[in-house]
Amino acid sequence: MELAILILRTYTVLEILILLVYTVRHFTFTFNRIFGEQRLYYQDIVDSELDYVTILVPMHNEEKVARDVLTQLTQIDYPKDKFEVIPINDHSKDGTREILDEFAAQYPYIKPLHRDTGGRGKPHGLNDAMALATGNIMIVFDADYIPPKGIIRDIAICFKDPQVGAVMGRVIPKNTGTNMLTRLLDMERSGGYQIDQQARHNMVLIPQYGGTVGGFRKDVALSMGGFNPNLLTEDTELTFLLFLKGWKVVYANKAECYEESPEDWGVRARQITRWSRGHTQVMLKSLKPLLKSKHLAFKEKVDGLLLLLIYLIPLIMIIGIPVSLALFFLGEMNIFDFIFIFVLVAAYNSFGNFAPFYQIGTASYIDGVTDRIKLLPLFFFCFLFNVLYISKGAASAFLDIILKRNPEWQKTARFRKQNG
Amino acid sequence: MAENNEAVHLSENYIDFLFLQSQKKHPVFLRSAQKAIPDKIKIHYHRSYRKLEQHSIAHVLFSMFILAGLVDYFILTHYSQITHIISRVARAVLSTCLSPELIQIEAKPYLMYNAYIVNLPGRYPSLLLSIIVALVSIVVIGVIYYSKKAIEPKRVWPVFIFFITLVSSLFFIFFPGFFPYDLEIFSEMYIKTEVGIWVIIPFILTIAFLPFRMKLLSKFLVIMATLFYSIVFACARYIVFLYFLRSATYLFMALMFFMFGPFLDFIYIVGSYSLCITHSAKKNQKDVELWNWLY
Repeated sequence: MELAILILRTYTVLEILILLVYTVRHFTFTFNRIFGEQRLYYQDIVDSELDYVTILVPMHNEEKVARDVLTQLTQIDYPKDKFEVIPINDHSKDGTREILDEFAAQYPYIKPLHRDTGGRGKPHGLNDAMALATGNIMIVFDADYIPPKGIIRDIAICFKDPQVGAVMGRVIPKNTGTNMLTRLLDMERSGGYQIDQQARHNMVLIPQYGGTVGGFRKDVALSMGGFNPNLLTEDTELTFLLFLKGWKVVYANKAECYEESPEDWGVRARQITRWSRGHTQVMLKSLKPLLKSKHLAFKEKVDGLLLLLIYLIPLIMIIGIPVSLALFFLGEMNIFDFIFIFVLVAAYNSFGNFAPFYQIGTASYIDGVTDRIKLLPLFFFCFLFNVLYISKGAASAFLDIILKRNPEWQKTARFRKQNG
Repeated sequence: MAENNEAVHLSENYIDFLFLQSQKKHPVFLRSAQKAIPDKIKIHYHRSYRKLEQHSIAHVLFSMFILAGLVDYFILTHYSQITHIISRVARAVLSTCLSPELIQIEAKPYLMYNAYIVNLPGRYPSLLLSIIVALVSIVVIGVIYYSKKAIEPKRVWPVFIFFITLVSSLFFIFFPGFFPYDLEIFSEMYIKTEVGIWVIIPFILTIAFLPFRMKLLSKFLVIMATLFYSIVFACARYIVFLYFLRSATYLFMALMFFMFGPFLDFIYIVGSYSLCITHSAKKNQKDVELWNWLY
């Protein structure tokens, strides 16, 4: 029994220490962003020799949004002879095919790829599209995004630096005012991009390529074997593969693009479960190479390690609940005397893993948000929701390995109401 | 400056023009134009790389000393009196529904001084109550879990609440004689934890407020108001906990501590923070002098 208690106590103390490390990390990022010197990307480069780019738009049953994204792409401010758009119709059963064909007939630079055979999912689609692409610079938008006119130039110009392997822009929810969930997601996104990503870029750490509103070099992606169809977060995989091979990922905070965030908790649950599962898959694959990498500085390794482990924290916390209950019923509550408070502080700081309250508050302040900041206490109620579904995703990734199964790609449902 | 004046002048003429137009049939257009055009004269930094000027180390240290140091000093030198007041209030309130002889105030050594707690005899659950609660918990968890494929936050919370209740009732079904606590220990744990929360509040809020341009006095008042709320809330919740555990048995002690204990305190701490930052954001968003660009 004493050994059991020792193990439970050790687990609790380790949990506290891990959470405190993440608390320090979030504080560091927040203070760096609000006070530190901001590192620009390559927005000020003026070069008439713009690279030819291929814009990829993966789509699976996207008739609600396909027309909007393609219309936006026909209006972008980039020489018409310097880009092509490949909308990837991935086994759609709705009217997506007809919409793509309609645009292709009107605009010669829109070249749809209809995929009716082979594996389904974004990695499969991207691999097939890369084989067709004329350009070497791939810029990806999810189908629910509304790319602004200047964004292609903003992203493409970064590849003038031969060390840059991928570029990530900023995602801004378009449907923020729809309901409470969308308002909270907008603030969460703000914390993630305005603080986390920009601070990482400032501190020359590991900014993350997010798989949309971003670009990458085709030849580099192909030299790494393309995207692994068995991974659910091909973007995280690419980020770490690039860093491990000595490439850099740039975060372009000014390259903003609107997206449609989930309006339904069920959709949100499936989304974060998928992210967590995919991220944990990449963690299991990349952890050892990261620590051994000769291309990364010590601080990049530390940041990469914390980034890889981030989706494990809720799982650690959820295991901490029965551990705490066991200690409670074993009469070991005395260890909580004061330390327990730190657990709570750290747990609360983590706030379901995405961003703690002071990070979201600071990001919203920088973004010019006012009244919506009052919603911050409501994140508390999302805490267990996030912990539950992120844990589910992370646990699934471990089960995938044990049971030798391959997860299936699940598309995020769309909510946009069609015009007319 | 001259350009600015000219711009204001031009825009005022333009508004006058719009006003004349509005006399015909465009009042809504006029209102938006009146508000929007003067704002356009100021060019604000884009949100992507704007930042605030860094505080000096002396300012940070001074803030930490005044806001966290002095307030924490006050708490650490007065928690004995505060907990005594809370215990007296709790005893007075509980005496209205319980026999006053049962309710004792006791001193427990904590840190440098004594913390005061209320002690009263509690009750163990019967086997029947434990079984009923266990069954109800299983049913509720099952119903919530299968009611919808996705569990919303409002459904996740009851699942955790009933999960802890289920574990507790199973403990009392199988190990009824091994429950290691009584109301005295619970009281002691609760009061000590709350003292810890009071010490943490100034520390957390001081650091969280550091980036924002607010008067030190404003920050101090917000921290003191939060602390005051925390003490009042701790007292009210203490009374509810003691009454509930006395009436509904120790079966719910784990639930009280884990789900309704210090965990909830952070809601109003973040609430205070959010109100304060909202006020600051409204005041400062249009202040061109406040924001820096890049460096």
